[in-house]
Amino acid sequence: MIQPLTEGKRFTLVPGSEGLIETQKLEVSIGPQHPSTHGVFRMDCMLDGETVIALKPVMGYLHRNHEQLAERMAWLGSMPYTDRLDYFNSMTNNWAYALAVEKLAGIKVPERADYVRVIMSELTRILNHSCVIGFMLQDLGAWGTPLLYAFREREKILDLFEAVSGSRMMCNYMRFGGVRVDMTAKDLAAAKEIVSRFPHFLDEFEQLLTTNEVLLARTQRIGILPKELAINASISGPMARASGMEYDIRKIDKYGVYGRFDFRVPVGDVGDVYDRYYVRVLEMRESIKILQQALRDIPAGPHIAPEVKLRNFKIPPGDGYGRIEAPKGELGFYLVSDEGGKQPYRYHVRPPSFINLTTLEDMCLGHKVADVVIILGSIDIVLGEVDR
Amino acid sequence: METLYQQLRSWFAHAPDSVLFWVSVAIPIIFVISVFPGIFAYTTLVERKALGRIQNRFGPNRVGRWGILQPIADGLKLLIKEDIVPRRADKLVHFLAPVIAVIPSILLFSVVPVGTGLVPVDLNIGILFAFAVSTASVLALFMGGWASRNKFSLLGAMRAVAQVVSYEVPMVLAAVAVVMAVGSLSTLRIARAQAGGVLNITNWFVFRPWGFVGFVLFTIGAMAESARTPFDIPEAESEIIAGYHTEYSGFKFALFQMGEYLASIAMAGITVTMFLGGYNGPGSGPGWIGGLISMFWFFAKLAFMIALNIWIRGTWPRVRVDQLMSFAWKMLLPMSIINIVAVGFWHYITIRPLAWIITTLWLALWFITLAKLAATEGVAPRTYRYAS
Amino acid sequence: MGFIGKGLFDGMVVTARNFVGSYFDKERLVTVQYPEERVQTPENSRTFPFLVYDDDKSPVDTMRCVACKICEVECPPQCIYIVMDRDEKGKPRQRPKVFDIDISVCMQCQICVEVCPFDAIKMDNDYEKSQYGRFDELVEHLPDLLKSNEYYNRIKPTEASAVDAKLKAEKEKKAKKAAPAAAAKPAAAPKTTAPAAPASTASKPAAAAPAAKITIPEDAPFTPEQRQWLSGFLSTIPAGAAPVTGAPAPPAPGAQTPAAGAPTGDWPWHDPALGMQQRLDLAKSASLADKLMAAMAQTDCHACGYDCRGYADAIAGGAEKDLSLCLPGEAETADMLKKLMEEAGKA
Repeated sequence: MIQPLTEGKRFTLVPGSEGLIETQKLEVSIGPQHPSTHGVFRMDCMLDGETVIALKPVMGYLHRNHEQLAERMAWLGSMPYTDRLDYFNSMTNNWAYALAVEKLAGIKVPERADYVRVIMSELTRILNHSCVIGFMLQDLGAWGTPLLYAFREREKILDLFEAVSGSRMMCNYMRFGGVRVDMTAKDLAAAKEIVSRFPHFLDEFEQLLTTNEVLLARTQRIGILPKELAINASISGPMARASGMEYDIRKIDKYGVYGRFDFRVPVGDVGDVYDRYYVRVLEMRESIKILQQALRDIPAGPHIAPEVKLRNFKIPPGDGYGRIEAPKGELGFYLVSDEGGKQPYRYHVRPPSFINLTTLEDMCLGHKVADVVIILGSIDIVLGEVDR
Repeated sequence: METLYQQLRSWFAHAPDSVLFWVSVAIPIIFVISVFPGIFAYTTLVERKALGRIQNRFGPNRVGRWGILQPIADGLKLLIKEDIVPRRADKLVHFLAPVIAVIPSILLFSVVPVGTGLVPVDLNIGILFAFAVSTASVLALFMGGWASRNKFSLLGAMRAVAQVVSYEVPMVLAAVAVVMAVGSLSTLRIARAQAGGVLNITNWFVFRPWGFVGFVLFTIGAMAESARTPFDIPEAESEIIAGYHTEYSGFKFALFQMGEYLASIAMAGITVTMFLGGYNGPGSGPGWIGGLISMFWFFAKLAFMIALNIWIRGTWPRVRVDQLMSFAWKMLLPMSIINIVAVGFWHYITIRPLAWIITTLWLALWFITLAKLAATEGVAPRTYRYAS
Repeated sequence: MGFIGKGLFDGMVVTARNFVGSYFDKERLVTVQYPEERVQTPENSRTFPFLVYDDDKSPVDTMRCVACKICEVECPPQCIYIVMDRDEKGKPRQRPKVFDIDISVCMQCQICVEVCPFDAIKMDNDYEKSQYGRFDELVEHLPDLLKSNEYYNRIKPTEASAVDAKLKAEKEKKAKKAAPAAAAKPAAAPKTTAPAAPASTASKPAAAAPAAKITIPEDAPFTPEQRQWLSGFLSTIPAGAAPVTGAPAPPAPGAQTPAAGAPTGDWPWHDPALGMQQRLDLAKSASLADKLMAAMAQTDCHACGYDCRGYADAIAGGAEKDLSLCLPGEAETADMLKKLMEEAGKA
């Protein structure tokens, strides 16, 4: 009954039903103040009864001028600002920026620093995925129970971040050429403790959710993103993998020391909300594997390349693009350095949430209002990244 | 009430008739008005604390030890809040909606027997009265949604009406099964029919095959009637903020909440009466001691049903409105009709063991068939592959 | 073993397990009831900066900050405001008079701590800083920010003991370097530009310089700072000897050196906000000592043991051989100094 997607992005519900019953279309604005839009984000929906026939996302409520600010600060000065891009995962944002600068300036990172970076990044990934599932279920109406279980686990990881870098969320931990301070033996032991407890929590989480009939009915066959559209719209991250794209930057670029770890990349087939949820669960299990290997193999050594200066750090002119597999997708930084080289001439962030959001309308057409919120939850956006 | 009048007459033989009449009218009213809203208030507290414990946190525990004074604090806060009415709202309807939400819920308690012979009004048509009155509260939902002049509220109201109306039918038909077995519409007689048996327990209708199915159907119907999760779509917070009571503040909001909770408690009371044996339990019987014990058993079973409601609320996500409707019409309604046929079998097959076997087989086979027929295609747990 | 509704049933089992477990297992009831109970924050936890002083009896005198303004420059949201303390004659004392941190702007990024060359500013872990106003109440001034080294050792024992050890080692190194200079002191009486360490009071070449006191009169066409400097400079000329191009007095803290920090008429490059190239351009046609001075960080922080002018003069005069002492300038200054010296050597 639902026509396939045409170029005009408008379609009729039942062919030939116009004129049978006089109905009025309802224009509704979901947000910006809404419990479930994950931040200040607005969607202008055109509804026919309960079915969405057009949807326009409106972004920009959280624009904080991040890219412009970086142009007037030294290279190191915008590191704390990258924390606040995707304010949920600060470690991976820091790494992406540090990677871009290291590429541009040709700095080599010592091995131990790379291992520490991998550990922090994978811990961030598991905390992001568990909380995203929690948030999605909160939108689904499970009054906070999975969310609070996920937060319970996240607390342990945040305590580790605080012990290592000084701050729970805005870590400001990565530096050009390594990390700011080293992880002590106590921190490594705490990380091992977290990693050993996490599969148990994941099992309980799955028991609560994965075979739940209400969840299955609510999320399967909803918000299907076909693989061609995903490729054309440059979707990345778990969303792309759920649609069948076998693309994981950790396997392709092998940045850091990811080439040494043995882990698999789960791929979904249908590309609906349930696939995105389950691909994230499987990714969490793979992250645990990576963490176990990293914690076992971490070598001794310096934690930062000694030749990098903190102040008056200059980069020769040029441009470069550094990207990582952030938990939400491909997070990239495009930096241009000019003569003088103390500040970036151009600093651009490629935010995964923003790019992934462009397919929101295509995924939501034909579904009900309730589904729109679920689909938005499964895209996993953070407004700090979308609006920068 | 009549028995009370006669009882009082026998005690106070020289009191004037009219006084005794009004006293015997007043006593049940005072009983209902004081006990059941008190139960409502403390149910809100118990619900918050139980949900908190499920979610690994304390519930409210600041106001008084264990949060005992929390409902009083909440009520006081809502009383002193500013009463905001949207400017272009329909004022009369806006005012009347909460009132009409509460009155039927309180009226429902008049046919619930809380002890041996203790029912405020012994109506011959008790069950019919109960359903008639509970359906009247639908009007309040719609009035609330319409009078708020808010698209979201209207959506919520329409969903609420659809939901309540469609779950009325299987609920009533499940009750019809009980009425057929007992032969009377009076709640007192239904409760009395479940007395006897081992320890006054084994005669409960929930231990009969048709009674068990009826119990499940009725509980689901009752949860949908009073809009509890997983059927709390009318007030689905994550999609339409608060549905039909978005624009209500202060005491009107409290009245809506009271109407919803009282309806759920009253429906729980009627479930207990019809399926769980009412006030019957070990030690219950006529007389003072038996009466007190029977009251204890009634409230214990009521507490169990409320706890079941809270438990389910903390665990399952919400169903979508069209899935809810299809569940009611395609699964529950046929099942309730089949249940009626099963009661017929039970009644007319005089050899008990044969009746058990035939009834159980009939219900089980039809249940499996319906589940297979009504299952949405493609909804099942899946296995995932990994990228090469 | 999947019956219809098994997923729902499993969910109920999990919730029941958590509910019952919350009464027995600490793992399943993770609330910390603030403010009666508090979570012990780890040692490294950071909230807002504070300034360290060494001696309780005189916090203002023993604070480690010399108002070099490096943290002010490097702070990403620019939340620090520093004004150097000057005495009655306008000479700078190497400490701040005004040190404001606006904690409603501060990002708690810790970059000020990382770039401070003197271990003067460190991160506190006190998070209970809420006030009843949004503007002035949230600006922390110097008295609020000064906290003792004991406090620092208490909140961050590992870090503080490492800092203490480092400072002690530096002091000893400077004392060792000053000891041979003190031995050569009597022989270098007119050469009062001995690289005396600020902290070692043992070798105070000031006492060794028999200078006549010359004061420029008030109506001379000079600014107070210029008058100051000229007085001092001319006073160093003992009768008959050539004027020494260098600081006339030992550069102990609070020494009588010309005003620094603001670009003076004579030294237009003496501004820490200018870049290296700009400063060198401004000093293009000046003497070697001027060019050397322009290569430095212009903060007069005395990290090298002199103020900027003194250090430049010392290098030009040959008294100071170590070209890498300019801490704020770091390697950039050291390289430029080396280059200038090589060019001068060839010319």
